[in-house]
Amino acid sequence: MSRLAPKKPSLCSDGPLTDGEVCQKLSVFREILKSCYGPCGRLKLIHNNRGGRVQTTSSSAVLLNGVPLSHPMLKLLAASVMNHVSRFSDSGLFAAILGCTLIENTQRLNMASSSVIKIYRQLLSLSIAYLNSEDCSCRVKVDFRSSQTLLALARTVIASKPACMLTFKEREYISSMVLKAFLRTVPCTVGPNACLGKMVVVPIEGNIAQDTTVLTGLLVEMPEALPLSNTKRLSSSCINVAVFNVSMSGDLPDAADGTVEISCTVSPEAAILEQLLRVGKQMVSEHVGLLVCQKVVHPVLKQYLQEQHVIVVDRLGAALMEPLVQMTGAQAVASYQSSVPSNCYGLLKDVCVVSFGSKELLHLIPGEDSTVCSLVLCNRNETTLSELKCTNRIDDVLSDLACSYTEYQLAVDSFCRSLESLARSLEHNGGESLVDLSHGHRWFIQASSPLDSHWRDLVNRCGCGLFQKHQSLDWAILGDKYPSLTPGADRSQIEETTPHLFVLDSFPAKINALQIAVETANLILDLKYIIQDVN
Amino acid sequence: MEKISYSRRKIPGFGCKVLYKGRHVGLQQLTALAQAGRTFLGPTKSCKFIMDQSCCEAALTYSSFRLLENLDLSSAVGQLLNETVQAHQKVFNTGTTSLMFLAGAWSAAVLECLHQGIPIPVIVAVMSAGLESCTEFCKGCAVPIEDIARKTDCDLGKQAQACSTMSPNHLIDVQKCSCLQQGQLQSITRSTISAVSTLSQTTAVKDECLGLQLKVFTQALSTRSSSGEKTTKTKIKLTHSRHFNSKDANSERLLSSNSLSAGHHRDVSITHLAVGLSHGCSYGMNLVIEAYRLQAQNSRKRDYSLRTGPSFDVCKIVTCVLPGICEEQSCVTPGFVTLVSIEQATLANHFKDQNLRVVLINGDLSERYRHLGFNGSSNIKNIIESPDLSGSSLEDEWAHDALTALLSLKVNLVLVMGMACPILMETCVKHNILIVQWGKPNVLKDFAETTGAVPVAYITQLNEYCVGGGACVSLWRTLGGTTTESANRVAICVTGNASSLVTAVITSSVICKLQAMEDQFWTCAHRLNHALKEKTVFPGAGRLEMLCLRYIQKLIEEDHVTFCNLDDDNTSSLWMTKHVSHYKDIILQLMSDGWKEYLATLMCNSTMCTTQLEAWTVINQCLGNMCDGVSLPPVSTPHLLNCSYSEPASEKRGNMDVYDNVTVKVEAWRRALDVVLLVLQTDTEIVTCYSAGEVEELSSALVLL
Repeated sequence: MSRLAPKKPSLCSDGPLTDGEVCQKLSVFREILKSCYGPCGRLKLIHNNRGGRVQTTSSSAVLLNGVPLSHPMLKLLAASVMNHVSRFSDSGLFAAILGCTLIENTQRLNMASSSVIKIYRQLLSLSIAYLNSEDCSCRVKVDFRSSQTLLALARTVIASKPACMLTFKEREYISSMVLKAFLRTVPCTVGPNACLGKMVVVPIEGNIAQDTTVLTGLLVEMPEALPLSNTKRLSSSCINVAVFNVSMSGDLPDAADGTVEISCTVSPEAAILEQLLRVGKQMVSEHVGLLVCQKVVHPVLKQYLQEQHVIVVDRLGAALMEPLVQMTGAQAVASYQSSVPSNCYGLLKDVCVVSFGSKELLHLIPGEDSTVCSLVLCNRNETTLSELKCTNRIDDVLSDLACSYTEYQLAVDSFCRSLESLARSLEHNGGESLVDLSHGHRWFIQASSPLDSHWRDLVNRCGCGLFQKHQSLDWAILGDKYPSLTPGADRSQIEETTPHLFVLDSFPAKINALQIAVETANLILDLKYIIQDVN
Repeated sequence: MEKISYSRRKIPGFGCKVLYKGRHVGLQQLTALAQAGRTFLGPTKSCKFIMDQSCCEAALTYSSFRLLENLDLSSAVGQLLNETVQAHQKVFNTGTTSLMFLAGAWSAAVLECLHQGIPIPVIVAVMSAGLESCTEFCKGCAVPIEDIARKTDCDLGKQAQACSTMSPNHLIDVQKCSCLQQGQLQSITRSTISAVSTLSQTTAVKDECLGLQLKVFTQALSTRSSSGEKTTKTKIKLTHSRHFNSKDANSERLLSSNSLSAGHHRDVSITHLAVGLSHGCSYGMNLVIEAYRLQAQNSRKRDYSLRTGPSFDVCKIVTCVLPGICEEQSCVTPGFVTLVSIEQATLANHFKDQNLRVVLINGDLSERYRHLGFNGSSNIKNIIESPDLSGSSLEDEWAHDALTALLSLKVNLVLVMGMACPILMETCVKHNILIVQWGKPNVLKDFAETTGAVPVAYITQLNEYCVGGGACVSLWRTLGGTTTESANRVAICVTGNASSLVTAVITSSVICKLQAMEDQFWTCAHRLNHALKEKTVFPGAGRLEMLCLRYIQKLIEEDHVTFCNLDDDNTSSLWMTKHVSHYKDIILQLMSDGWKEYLATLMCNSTMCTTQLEAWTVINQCLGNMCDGVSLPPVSTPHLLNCSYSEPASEKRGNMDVYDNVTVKVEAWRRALDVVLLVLQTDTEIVTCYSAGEVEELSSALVLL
């Protein structure tokens, strides 16, 4: 029985930022994000109070995904940060915290939002211009002759996730494996349309982190029966591969909204199976050694192919289709009703079985210069593993890199106070943050330092590791009033040694995060009305 | 705990609690939860009843993972601990009690650190570095199982020598000892396992015997090392001892193997290792030893040239639980033991000593079953053109077709992974076809390997190629030779050709004990499996924890922070180095107190000490003795075995050797510390779905977003 309910009118509320409750929500949200920031950030336990899985995290991707927000304004902020994270997989917290802080600081200014927005826009372009300029004091050129800079970048990302529960050695190892996997995806020959290959992360729960490894090619679930020893081969070094992205489970094609009337004497299941077996026969006659299907393969077809020494891998999933197609050169076949064109087949060098702990996987080995690789990522349990998975992308760093915890090109108080408070939120244990007056980098001092000592005696190296303390440096407390400074590009003081201890962030990710934060804040500041459909 | 809230609206949504303000609530919860598992520690456990007050149901539990599984864990921290424990159980099948205990002890230690005002990053850095360093040290103390085997060999040799050289008085003692040994061996080679009540007697006797052996061995070891003789794996001919001669003859008959003495010695050494790994659970371990022996015998039978190490395959063991039969009847049987109906059992009896043709079905054997991923179409209408007057249903038709297929292929036995259609089962019995349901995947896999059958999803897929041969069916009989019947089900045993699949039949007349007994069996099986795979074990009975305590004491005594990579750690800890040395001693001391508490609880549980205080005093005395003139690393293996200090937990157990698994132990420590440090670094709990009522109730404790 259906029931008709009258539609409720939409709800319109004006000036969302003048509502005290909304502002408090925003500030709680900001505090939650802020306490997660940096390598010493505090973790959050997310659970549903119904005995579901518990997530322990300090990463923006998990936090914003796992937490349903109630107010449209927060949803908007979260959505734009999530969009940034999906592109760069980095600096999500930076963008979210800066966005929140900008909104809150502007509220206190008591200025017309339109003019503030204009100033912010200008400041943003100034900042970006400065960061892109040659005399930016917090940029590090990537030295592609050595892996140190890239390694430092990978290490920074992994170290910023304390919920991974990795020791120093494990962190180093995982960083090097991530870098190794990344380098595998760089093509050997640079042509006009060279592009990066694919890195597929295979998470294995229960093994220790040191079991993490990188393999060329793809890893897929083990088929139940495996005619490995007598697989059909084209020659000694190649296996013909057919790839299907259509379900071969024997389902009838969907008849949309209509109904199909079939006589009882006709079995549609048998008819479909006949078609499937016809394709199977073609596979055998054209010497296909491996059939991969994105979805399910009918057991009868499977049995037939296995009897003919063809390996069948089904339930591959959509995520692995693209790398598989790229790796083998096959074309995914979307129909089995007609015969498969011969140019659709791809090639593999070999297949073998690899095992990790108690789990066995089938390893598809591609030809020589393939840029597809698998990163087998191991960690002790699900919580720590899923946190580790978030950290695994450093694709977008090929252009330029910058250390950008420390951007103090100040023009408007509100703007710079937001950035300052962001930088300060790296400290979670009551320590103090300093800024030096020649480079504008951030320095730590611990919480219980004696009051009568000089800054110089308390600091050693700046937060990112680029500068060491020296005589000509002066410091001020970050967030206090201090004389304006022009961070110079005085590179003479940067150490020439390999930057293995540097804390580095991806330059494009940070630039984009800055942009996202300011633009989203501007958008929210510009909000006059919220119209909600409450049906 | 500070509680904040400012929402008046009753929307289900997301609230957050602040966990850490002043006292860390999460760590307190962890400590409180872990307390529940204290009595499971050590060889003498006390079991627990978990009651559900709403429906008066109760569960009996002996192990931490079952305890957590049965609890209704509402807190996020409890859930996190449960996830950690279950993940450990999934991978290792043992060691969860240590994990849970240390998680509790270390969270108490961390709470104390917080109380003393130590910053969180310092606690995290020192604790994880301390454990890493300790683990590295402990791994150096692991004993290769070959040494244990060698030791047992030596014991036998020494005893034989003693027999020929000692004075008559001694001879009687030693004779008594070797008689016992012989008795013990017979009990092992016999394919039956005696009951728990009688077992406890035999174990006591064994203990006595092994104790003697240990003394003899230590003598042997010291004389050997003083003369500089290398302890090689020499095979000692036992020509002077009639006991050992007779035993050889005995086992020859039983094992029917030409590699007799080697195989025989291997069995002996496994027994010693297994008893050491049983941790007081002799019921389970005796079944495991029996399973091992059956599998080893089988692999030897199959391949005479095979001289590789011990073959033990946990994947080829299944359990069958038979309630209502007394515990004495528990045993290990080759093949797959399962329960069938009385009619089927009669058929099984009829099949006795026949080679059967077998097929394997991967899913359910019913008309409605479709393979996974097949959805069918909802918008298809079947139109009947002429009315069907035969009155047979779709299911009858299907059953008829299935029977025809089975008959045409002359199949005698169908092994189904899921359920089978009752109508088909009944008709099949009439046509001399036995259908066995609920075969586990590893059972089907073994039958596929040993009979040559190919598993299929549908009965229509069957062809000559899929049918396997050489399977046998018999009624499972108890030790007294009677068949068993409970609730109209009879146990039968299905075997493949030369299969190493064995079934541990677990029986008890007390039904609520069965689950615990099955768990115990699997724990023992996996302990032995880990030991054989890793080829090393730790000295058990608290000896390893004592070494840890001593090692941590050494770390504290060292002035500078040299342990682990604290200096190279990430830059945020650069500023910490001064702090670390300041707080290092306190944190490490508190951490080692966690192990001390573990030992003390072990001693209290095994009634060695009546109070924790007494236990702590004994441990501290031992530590004092150990430190006198003993240089720390490296502690060599013989030194460990010779250790002269009085060893707390093993005193009462007649000096019998006790062993622990290496990776299991180390991983349990690591996971325990991981969960503690995770909770420590957590400051907020975010709950994603409160219902409106809960929001009302908790409005003072929640912030709604």
